Amino acid sequence: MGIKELLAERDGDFISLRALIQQLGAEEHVSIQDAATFLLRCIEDADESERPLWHHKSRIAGVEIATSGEQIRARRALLHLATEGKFELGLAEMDDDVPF
Amino acid sequence: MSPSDFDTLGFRPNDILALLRSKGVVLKQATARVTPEEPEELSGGWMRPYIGRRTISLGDAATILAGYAPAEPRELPWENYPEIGEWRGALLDAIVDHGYSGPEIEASSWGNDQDRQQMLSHADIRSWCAARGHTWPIPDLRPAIPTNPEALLEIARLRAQVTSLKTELAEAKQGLFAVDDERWPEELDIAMMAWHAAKSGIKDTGERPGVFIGKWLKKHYPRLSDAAVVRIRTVVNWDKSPGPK
Repeated sequence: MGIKELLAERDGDFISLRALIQQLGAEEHVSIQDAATFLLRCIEDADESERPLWHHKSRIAGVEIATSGEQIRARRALLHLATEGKFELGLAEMDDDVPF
Repeated sequence: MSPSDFDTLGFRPNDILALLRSKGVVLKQATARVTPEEPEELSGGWMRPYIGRRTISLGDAATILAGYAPAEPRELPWENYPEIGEWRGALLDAIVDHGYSGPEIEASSWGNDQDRQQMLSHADIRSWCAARGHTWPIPDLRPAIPTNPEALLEIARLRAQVTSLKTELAEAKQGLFAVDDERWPEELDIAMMAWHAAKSGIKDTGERPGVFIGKWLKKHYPRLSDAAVVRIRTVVNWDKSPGPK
């Protein structure tokens, strides 16, 4: 197995928030905002047992369960998509403000 | 939050696709690059009676290797389960004495029902699977105890990691994971407390969650603006059914 395959094996089992929202939007023919709002509600409404854990992917460590800080950032990122409907961040969001 | 968060934060595809599926949304799995899901039957408790068994019938062994719980498909025609037939064939090959090294799996004689009556050595099945890289899902009763120093170090490291993760998980379940962080948003903090209060409080008052949360916020945070109360109540209220809250 080559290096590429080894890295792919470690990183393969992961879907980023961007890829998920884009796929959800494309396949269900809805906007980024609607896709994000739907995903947000799905996660909020889910029982604890079925609520998926956020994961973080890095070049060095591969895919790992998100730390508490990363979980907060992930929820904020999803909330940003649900409220703003776009991936671009304003200065306020990058300053760590809650986006609402 | 940074722009890269959209790319570095996400989910295990199996987890999120299962959640979406439960809401009636089925995404194609190509982009998500999903790893094969463990067969549902294998995640149940049916394995327990098989742990430590000295022998397992041919039919059960083939069924287990195909990824099913043994009880169900055996009653049905083989044609519906070609993968079980293929594993059965492989096991039959292993129990036959080919003459040069003896059978790889010791097996008993049988009467008129080979699948139920021919019993195969459990240990031999496990060794046969290991030699070929097949997965035998029944846990070993006496797993080999590692003595390799590197393995022991790795075990110690993993145990420490498990302990740390358990602590983090326990904190996360209680909503305590970031309360000391200077970036912890106040409204989020209020929302967490309101949720905990409502979870137990509605049992006493009999009110709907939204009503309870609104009153609780007004009582404990009288300086919150009406807009903030609505925001937090919307987030905290788990009762999304239509009608007055």
